[in-house]
Parts: sequence; C-alpha cells; structure tokens
Amino acid sequence: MSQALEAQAVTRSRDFARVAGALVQLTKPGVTRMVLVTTAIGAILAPGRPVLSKLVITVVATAAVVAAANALNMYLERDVDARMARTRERPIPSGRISPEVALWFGVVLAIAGLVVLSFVVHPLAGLLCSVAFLSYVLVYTPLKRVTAFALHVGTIPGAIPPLIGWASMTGSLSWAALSVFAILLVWQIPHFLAIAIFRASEYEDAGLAVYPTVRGVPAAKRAVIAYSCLLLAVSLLPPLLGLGGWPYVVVASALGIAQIVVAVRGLTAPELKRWAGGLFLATLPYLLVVYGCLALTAP
Amino acid sequence: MSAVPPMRWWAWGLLAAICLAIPLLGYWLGR
Repeated sequence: MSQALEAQAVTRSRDFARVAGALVQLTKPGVTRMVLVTTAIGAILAPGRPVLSKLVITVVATAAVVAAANALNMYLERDVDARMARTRERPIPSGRISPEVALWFGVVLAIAGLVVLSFVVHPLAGLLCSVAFLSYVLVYTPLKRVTAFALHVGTIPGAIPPLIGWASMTGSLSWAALSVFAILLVWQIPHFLAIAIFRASEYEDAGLAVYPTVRGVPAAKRAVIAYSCLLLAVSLLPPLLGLGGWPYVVVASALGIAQIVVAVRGLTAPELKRWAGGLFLATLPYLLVVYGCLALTAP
Repeated sequence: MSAVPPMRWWAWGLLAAICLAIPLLGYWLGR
C-alpha cells in the first residue's frame, strides 16, 4: 500500500517537474532575459539615481508580462511550430502542455504583471508594457502569417522595454528616452533579417512570409546594409540629448562601422548561411556594448 | 496537434480591454 502511494507521489512530482519545465520553456527564457537587460538599462539611464527596490519590481513585473507574451505567441503559433523541425519540440506541439494551460498561464501572468507595474511602480510603465504586450500578441503575431512587413511592426514592442524602465523611475518620457528606444527599434531589423536569411528555407516550408523569401535574399542584404547605416546614425542621437559622453561616441561609432562592414561583406559572401550566422552573432554584443557604454557614461 | 478551437475574437478583444484598463485605472486612482 505505502509502496503504491510512494510510487504515486513520485509520478506526481515528475509530472509537476515536467509541467514546470514546459512552462519555463513557454516563456522563451533567452528572449525574456534580453528584455530584462534593456528594461534595466532604461531605468539606469533615466535622470536621477535609480531606486533599487523600484528597479527590481519593474524588472520582475516586466518579465512576467514578457513571459506571458511569449506563452501566448506559442499558443497562437502552435500549428506553425508543429510544422518546423526547430520548433516541433516546443511545449505545446510536443504535447508536454495543453494549449489551454498555456493560454491561461499567459493571460494570468500578463494581468498580474500589468497590475504590479500600474499600481506599484507607475501607470505610465504599465501603459507602455500593455501597449508592447498587445502589439506583440495581437498585431505582430497574426501579421507574421500575412506579410513580411510584420518584422517592422514587431520592432515596436521589442523596443519599448527601455521606455518602461525609464518611466518606472521618472513617471514620464523624454526625447533622450526616445533616442534609447530608437536604437533598439533600428537594431532589431538587421538582427532579425540575419535570422530570417539563415532560416529562410525553414520559414518557407512552414508557409511563413518572411522578408528574404518574399522580397528575395539580395533585397534582404540591401536592407541589412541600409538599416546598419541608419543604426550608426541613430546611435549618435543620445549624446545630442544629454546621454553618454565622448567614450560612448567613440565606441558606438566603431561598433556601428564594424557592423556596416559585416553587412557589406554579405554582398560578396560565398556562403550565405555562414555570413548570416556571423551577422546575427555580431548584432548581440553590439547592443549589449552600446547600451552598456551608455549606462556606464550616464550622467 | 491540438483540436482546441481558436480563442474567439471577442475574447482577445476583452483581454486587450482589460490590459489597457489596468494602467488607466492606475492613473485614475492615483489622481
């Protein structure tokens, strides 16, 4: 009898661990981590000394809403995910979690995060997070099936987190805050184009409209160069608005030019996938170093 | 694949309304 109960308890704890693991995977931890960093940077860059307790609450609440957005994105894309080798093992298509659980997990987490941001931190932080959440789940996600232009729409929720951090500290926004937003807005286009070029055939097989498959790889390469040039220009806006000093200008210019060089090399690269992979890997440290440098030289 | 029917459009609309109402309520209560 006791053996049977023990076995039952073991099975139950295994089930719990399996569901908990699936829920964590549902939040796309890598994407969520990146959002946490950019939210914290926004809070640090805001005028005045950042209040640590407020920073922690903002970051945790924003993480909850981002996790919810990712869970609902996986809920909405479960049919497409089941068709691609890379995403077939995600919690819903692999059957580790039911779509209803993912749906309610996302809904409850989003509401909880927005309540904390709006009532404990500042309503503006809550409003910005709400706009990011809704535009990601209800505009960008469905638009991905229809048009390659979804990439550009998706950059808006992706760039809002520094504004959430900024608003959490000041309760307002400024041109300086918008310049930090603009860097992230433009940065995402070459970053996601690199992924789209790298995985073009996969997306095509799954029936997703992505830029390189719709407009062609040469057009995508030209867009990477154009947006890398725009990124260099935009990255020099914060010093004009009182953020970052000369060290920042030097670092941002050097990294911006380096990214343009990598982008231009794509025109003659013999191996497309290798170039796209390299570009993707180059964009990640770019953002971290540029934002880090901005934060370190914050007034 | 799941045979779960897609969430109704009005349910997504309701979620959007709730998400926007929360910060607006925060503003209203904080006045």
